Amino acid sequence: MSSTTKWSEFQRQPLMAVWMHLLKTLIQFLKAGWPFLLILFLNRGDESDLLDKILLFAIPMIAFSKAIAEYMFFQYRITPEEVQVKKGIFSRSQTALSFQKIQAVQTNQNWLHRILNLAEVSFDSPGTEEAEMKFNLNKEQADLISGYILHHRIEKEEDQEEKHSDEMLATLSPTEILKLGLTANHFETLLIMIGIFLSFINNIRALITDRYGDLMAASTGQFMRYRSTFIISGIALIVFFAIFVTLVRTFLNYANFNLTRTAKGFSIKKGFINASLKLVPFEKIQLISWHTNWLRKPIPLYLFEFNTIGSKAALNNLRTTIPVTSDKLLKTLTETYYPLSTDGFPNELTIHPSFVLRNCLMFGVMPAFFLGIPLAWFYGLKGLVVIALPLYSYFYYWLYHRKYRFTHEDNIIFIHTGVFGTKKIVLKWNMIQTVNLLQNYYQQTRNLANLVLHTAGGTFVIPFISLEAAREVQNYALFKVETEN
Amino acid sequence: MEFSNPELNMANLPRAEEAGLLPVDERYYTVLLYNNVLIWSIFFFILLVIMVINEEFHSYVAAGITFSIYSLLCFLSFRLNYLSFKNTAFAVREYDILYQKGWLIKSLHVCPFIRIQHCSVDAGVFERNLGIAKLKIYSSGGNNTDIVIPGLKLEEAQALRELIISKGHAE
Repeated sequence: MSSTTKWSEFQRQPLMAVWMHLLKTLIQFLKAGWPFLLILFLNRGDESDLLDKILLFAIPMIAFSKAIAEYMFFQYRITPEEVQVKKGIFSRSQTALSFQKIQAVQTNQNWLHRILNLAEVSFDSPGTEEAEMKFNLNKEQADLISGYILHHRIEKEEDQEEKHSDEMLATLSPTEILKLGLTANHFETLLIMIGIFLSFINNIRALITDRYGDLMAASTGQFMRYRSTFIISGIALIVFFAIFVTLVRTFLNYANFNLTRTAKGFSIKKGFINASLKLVPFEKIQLISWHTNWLRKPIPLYLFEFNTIGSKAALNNLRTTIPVTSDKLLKTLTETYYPLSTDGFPNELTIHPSFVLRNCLMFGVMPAFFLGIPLAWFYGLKGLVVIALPLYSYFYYWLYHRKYRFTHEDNIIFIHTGVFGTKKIVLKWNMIQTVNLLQNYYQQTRNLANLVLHTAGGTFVIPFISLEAAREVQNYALFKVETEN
Repeated sequence: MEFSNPELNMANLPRAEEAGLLPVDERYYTVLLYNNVLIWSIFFFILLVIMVINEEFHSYVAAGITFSIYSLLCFLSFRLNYLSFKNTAFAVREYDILYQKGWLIKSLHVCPFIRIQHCSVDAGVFERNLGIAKLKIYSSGGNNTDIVIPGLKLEEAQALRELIISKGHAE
């Protein structure tokens, strides 16, 4: 590492990091207080002095003081074995994270980071989200630190040599980003947009005065008068807008995408405004998976994931998603974890057919029955629309049952699953943490069982398999874990 | 060196389901009883307050139906607790620990010693008074992987904890 910086001594972040703290604090204030500021703005004629004082004086002063305090009371150091952080104004805390426990190192840059030549370095640990460490460094220092921790090298020259052996695996062209955006889940975007809109309406409803309320009521009345035309054009507009938003999200997320294989792990760089660089060491990968949908499958286009160790709270942070645009790249990525045989797997388990009817009964028929009676009571025949729930749940679980395959060989488990899309999971037997065999009352009478495989990267349930098969898999998993670790 | 990779016969592997499971201490059922009585007494008190305040319950029929449902749920809860207690057992093998629980939903959870991150011995108020404790075993990857074995004699729980720690270090 650089000899000009004394990494082993506690030090503050670069001075420019104050601006990052200030931006963070201002965003926090705006998130919490925007409805209040909006109402002050709407009533500006009456209380413009108060708004000006708040906007121009009070908020910046408080935010700046908080940013300075956060900067002053945050210190870090990097010893040859661990990263240590001291922080807190009233309650001081000191956290240490050893290099061995770091699952992934990530370098993020938003627009302000770029202007200030800074980068935020975050270290993902197997504990909870709180255990994660983040701080700002100069861009060069951030690159040096992340490289140092990943490779665990002391000499910078050696680090340079490692870079020569890096192999570029994939980038994304604009056409591929467009394909990725067009084939994404627009329904999910639509739900996010509806959620944001409802939250916005809910926030301002209590604050806006009667005249704005009347205006909204009048607009709604006009809308309902011409509702058939409005509804059709409205739906078209919403769908178009959802697709547009998904495209923008995809572009912002995957622009400048770059996947590199280094000697110790994968380096994933992406992002247009908020650039991020994530380093995933090979030995920290617990399992791999990839999924696709009916639109992406023929292209071919997959979303590939590495799961590293993490508690439930931290799992999302420790899941690295990579868009894969060719079968060749998919093969390269899977081979780094375990080379898959092309001959298929000798052992296969399927779900018992009673799974479909049981789940349809539990999650379709019973809720429909208990919801249907009050809904029919209050809304008449319209309430009976809930009858669609059993039909949907039957279809859903039938598809799940049809697609699910649990196959395995001596060293790995291969799970093929999905409902409307397809997901494939590869897991080494010796990555399993604990095994749980569960039987509900119905399964006890039919000699069936659910087998739950807990790994440090997630939990997998093999539902409704024969008890004998579940016991065999349980015993084999224990044998592999206990003899190979 | 000659490399060999003989096929394994899965039927010949050590079988977790055949391990000799040990039942937990009888005093654990007393703890379950105390907890159940406490919970149902609170429910009873709340129910009584609602019935006194609400005039719709001021009739023998309404009160009779309410208490019948309460008694039925109470009986089912105590019965279920008893059956679950009867199925609670554990076993320690050379390389792992097994914990069985539940009656309506039966579960056999197995955790290899090498996967255990840490373990602790805890005791609640009732457990302390009765001289028993529970052994908590934590492994990587979330709350669902943790095993809690209740109803162990305090010395037994401490000894198990020591054994698990020594096994973990030995591997």
